[in-house]
Amino acid sequence: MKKLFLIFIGTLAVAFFGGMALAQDNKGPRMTVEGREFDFKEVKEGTVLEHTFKIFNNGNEPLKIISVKPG
Amino acid sequence: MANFDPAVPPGGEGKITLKVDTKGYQGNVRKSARVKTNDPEKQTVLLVVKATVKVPINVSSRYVQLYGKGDKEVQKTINIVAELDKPLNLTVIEFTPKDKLKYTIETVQKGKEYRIRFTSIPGIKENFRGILKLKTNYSEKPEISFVIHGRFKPMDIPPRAPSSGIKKEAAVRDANTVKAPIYVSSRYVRLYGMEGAEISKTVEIRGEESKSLNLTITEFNLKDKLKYTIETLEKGKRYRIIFSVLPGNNRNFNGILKLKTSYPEMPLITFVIHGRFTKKGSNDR
Repeated sequence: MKKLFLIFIGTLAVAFFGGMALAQDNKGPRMTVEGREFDFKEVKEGTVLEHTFKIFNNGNEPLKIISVKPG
Repeated sequence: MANFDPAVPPGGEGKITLKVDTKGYQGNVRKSARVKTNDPEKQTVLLVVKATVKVPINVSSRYVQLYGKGDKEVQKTINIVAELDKPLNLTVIEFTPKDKLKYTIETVQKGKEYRIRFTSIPGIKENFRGILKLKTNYSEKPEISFVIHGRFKPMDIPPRAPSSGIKKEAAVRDANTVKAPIYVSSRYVRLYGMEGAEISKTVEIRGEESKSLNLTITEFNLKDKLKYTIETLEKGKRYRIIFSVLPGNNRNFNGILKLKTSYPEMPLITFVIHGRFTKKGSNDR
């Protein structure tokens, strides 16, 4: 019984500290992008290429996009 | 062009849309956008859209630049390749620098591939510009125009002191050599122009009369930015290298092309390549 209790406490501690570590990781804005490169393959000259990249904020503060400039 | 959501709440989703007009482009096009965010770990992220732009007629360059001192012929060639599954016919409808330049249209493969060879007329000592306009039988591309620039006016440029690095090395090498066994028209390849324009540059390499010259590429570090073709003008003697900026490159670059030669007294030729691009307001080609 005592052994079982210790395992329970141990699991709780791991969950607690692990959670804290995770919370620490997500502090502030955290951006992830779904695919950073998009290939249209073959297109005819004059085609206007348009692609929307999805971005996610996995952080705990608002993510600001300051600028998007030709790179 | 880009549209984007300026802010994304925690746990939320946002969008960044990139738009690229492929008018005037051909071949591989790669456009990138640098995204700046307040994420301390990803302050800048590069997003890329790329495509292979198919054109009805592929033209190696729309700009013909001929530079020289006017004492001898200077040549430039342009290749035209039909990309559609029907024969291509070309007719000249306009050519302006008639007294400064001549051209020949060679059929490489009937109905499929043509080569235009522009040759300056010796004795010209002035700068000029002009146009060669071709009519085609393709309704998808009824006209092709080439912009021609000739630079033959003698310039009095005082010799510049070599600055650093490779330049200095070249100067030392030149000073130690009475007469270089291999003539190289220029070791510096400067590809300057408008963003999106087709930019190319030619250099010529000439060996000695009595000795056969062979060249092998040993290093080229601009594969994604630039292409080069080596033309044999006279087997074992004269070669021409044509450097062309690949479409979609709009960031400045520096690099080298290193050639191994069959001459033990000059085993290596190094070309220093600079690409410099100026932005343009809109894609008007």
